[in-house]
Amino acid sequence: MEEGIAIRAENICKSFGEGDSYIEVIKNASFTIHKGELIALIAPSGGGKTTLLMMIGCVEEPSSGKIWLGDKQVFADKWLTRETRKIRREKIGFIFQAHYLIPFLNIIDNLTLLPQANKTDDKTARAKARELLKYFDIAEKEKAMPSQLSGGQNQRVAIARALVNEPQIILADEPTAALDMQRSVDVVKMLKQIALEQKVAIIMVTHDERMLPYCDRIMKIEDKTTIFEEQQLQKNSTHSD
Amino acid sequence: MYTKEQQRAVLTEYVVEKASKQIGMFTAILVIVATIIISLIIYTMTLEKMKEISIMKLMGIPNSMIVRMIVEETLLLGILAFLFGNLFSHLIYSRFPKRVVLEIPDAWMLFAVVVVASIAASFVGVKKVISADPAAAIGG
Ligand SMILES: Nc1ncnc2c1ncn2[C@@H]1O[C@H](COP(=O)(O)OP(=O)(O)OP(=O)(O)O)[C@@H](O)[C@H]1O
Ligand SMILES: [Mg+2]
Repeated sequence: MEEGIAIRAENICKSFGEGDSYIEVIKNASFTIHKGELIALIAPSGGGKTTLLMMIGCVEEPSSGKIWLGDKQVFADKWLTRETRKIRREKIGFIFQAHYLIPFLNIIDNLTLLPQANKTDDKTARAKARELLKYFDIAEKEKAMPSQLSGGQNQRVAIARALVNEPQIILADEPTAALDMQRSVDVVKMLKQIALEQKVAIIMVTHDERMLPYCDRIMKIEDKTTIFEEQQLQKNSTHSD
Repeated sequence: MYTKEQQRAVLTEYVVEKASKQIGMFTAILVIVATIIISLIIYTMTLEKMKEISIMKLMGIPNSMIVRMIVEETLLLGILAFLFGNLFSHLIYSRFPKRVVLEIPDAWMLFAVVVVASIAASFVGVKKVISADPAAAIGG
């Protein structure tokens, strides 16, 4: 397998329901995403973006196909491990439209939850969490509760949380939808920087065309399958399919 | 035939035994009711947290950690209830129509019962956690 590949999907299909309620959402989607790339995923509402993201994230089980994360195959018409949750906590960071921080835990405890699950020792976990909070300019809020932070601050904490387990892949479902234009651009630039610095592959669902210039490639879902849109603007996009 | 002394002894024993059984039954019923109430509170508190629980599952947090959170919460609730109950009874017991004695070993016994009952009560919450769907976290 080629070096530097973060995600590979081969002919993944997904349908829901049976009989009258049967719908096919994704059909024969195949793609390769490299480490360090920020991919924008676009499709109309109901186009299957979240479904695709959740399949890559080992949350939703595809109907058929093959998926590799890094050099490890995780899906071949069925999960190749019983512990998909372990893959998620070790390899994947999730970011959503809402921050979804745990409201009864303070900021630092929210951040150390995943390292704790990964059996990282407490001191290391806290140090890592503090480093991230500092990076995102919210170091002084570590003892605050999520309800005491602004929307933008909470979203930054949520991004920090997605990074704290040093994932190889970040899946972001409309991370900027709740933010204003300036903050959205900040977040997307931040994601691009993270992708480059930490060699993480990031797939970001977005409805906002103004965010596209900051992404390396644009993946579209058309006729239930994924295609990459050619983008000339990019300077540092070295990959092509 | 009993002597007078023996009769007295038998009678007091009988009365005391009956009374203590009575109180024991009351205690048992109160503990059962308290357990049910705590279960219901934990159940609703867990229901309110289903979204967060789904998110935790989605992130990959193992059930064991989530369940521990819930059991801890229940225990806290049980222990708080025990402390308040004890404090309250110590404040008002001198006003009871009949003299009662509050004994420390009894309190410890009750404490043990509270801990066991709280853990039993958290079972409903725990069952709910195990069945939470991680995919539900992002839907709607
Ligand atoms: N659990 C499910 N059961 C049945 N149908 C589902 C389920 N999840 C998603 N779908 C259907 O799959 C299709 C794609 O849904 P999905 O959430 O992936 O769309 P989306 O592109 O993320 O849309 P949006 O932009 O509105 O978030 C929709 O038609 C939806 O109704
Ligand atoms: Mg969606």
